Amino acid sequence: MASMAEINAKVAGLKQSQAYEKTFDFTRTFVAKANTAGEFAIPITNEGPFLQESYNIRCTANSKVDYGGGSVSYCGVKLKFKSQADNAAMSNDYIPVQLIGTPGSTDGTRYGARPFMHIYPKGDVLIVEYDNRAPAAIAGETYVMADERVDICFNGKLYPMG
Amino acid sequence: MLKSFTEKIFQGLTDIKPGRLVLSDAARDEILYKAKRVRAKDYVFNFDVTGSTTQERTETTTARWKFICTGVAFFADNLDNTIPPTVGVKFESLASLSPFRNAEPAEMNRVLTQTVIPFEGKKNSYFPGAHFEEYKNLFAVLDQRVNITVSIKPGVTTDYHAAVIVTGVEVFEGGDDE
Repeated sequence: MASMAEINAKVAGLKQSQAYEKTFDFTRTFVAKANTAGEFAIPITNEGPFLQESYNIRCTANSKVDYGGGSVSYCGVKLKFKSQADNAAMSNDYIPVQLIGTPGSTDGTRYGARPFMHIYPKGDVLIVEYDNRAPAAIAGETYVMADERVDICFNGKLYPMG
Repeated sequence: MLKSFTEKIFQGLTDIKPGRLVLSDAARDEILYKAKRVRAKDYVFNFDVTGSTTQERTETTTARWKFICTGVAFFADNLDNTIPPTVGVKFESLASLSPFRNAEPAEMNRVLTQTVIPFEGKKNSYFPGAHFEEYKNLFAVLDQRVNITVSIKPGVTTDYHAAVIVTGVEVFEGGDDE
């Protein structure tokens, strides 16, 4: 039978070698104010490197758009992600949340988690840029923008070190 | 080893079916494991589609980082697709095989693969009028400095905002600089 010292040494070795992993989700909720754009930073855990495998986004649709037949629900939030350590945006432009998000109503088609692999080093910070301003009208439509709540869950694996 | 993988996955993206795997999980893991660095990357093409004019836009992927396309997704916010629009995606390599890396004339570009997909999209009641379609679980290893060209040919429809994402990862396999 291994002694406690041997077990501790083995666990310490595993930690140093990143030879074990644990599933890890981190979530963030924020409100994208109507007619504003901005950014905020999410510090990623200091436990070790984080392998992001996918993310799942849900957003309210409080804004309205009217194409001439009455106003309907609309969500105009656009997002852009950036790793501080990498200092490179993960997209060349803002992405409409309607394209990458999961609609929140019970009868909506659920898109689910979107595969999106990125390796963050220990201590990295994820920067999220958002834009909740109305797009240019191209079909004579009118927009009434409202505050939107955005929930993001990043799914992946964490490799604890030391 | 990596070369044989590359040969295997240089398959056209024509006739993509959702859920189709181009490589086995083990082969994909091998490539990602051998890479020095891996990072996520989306190439996003936003369009204001009006009238019947076909629009085209091009983005070039990062030099010295090989781009692996893992999915393509489309979105339109006011689509009345009696006759759906068609979306074309083309990948062209700018990377030179000559000593004059990154400096070959444009006519030397190699077309890696291209496809044209009719875009009908799924509707949902949460975003009325919005249509969405996604092809995922791809793993097409392309190249560094790949020109991604996306074109939209409107169908008989209303004017709408559209976005196309060519999503994937960039891998850095090592070299003198990043």
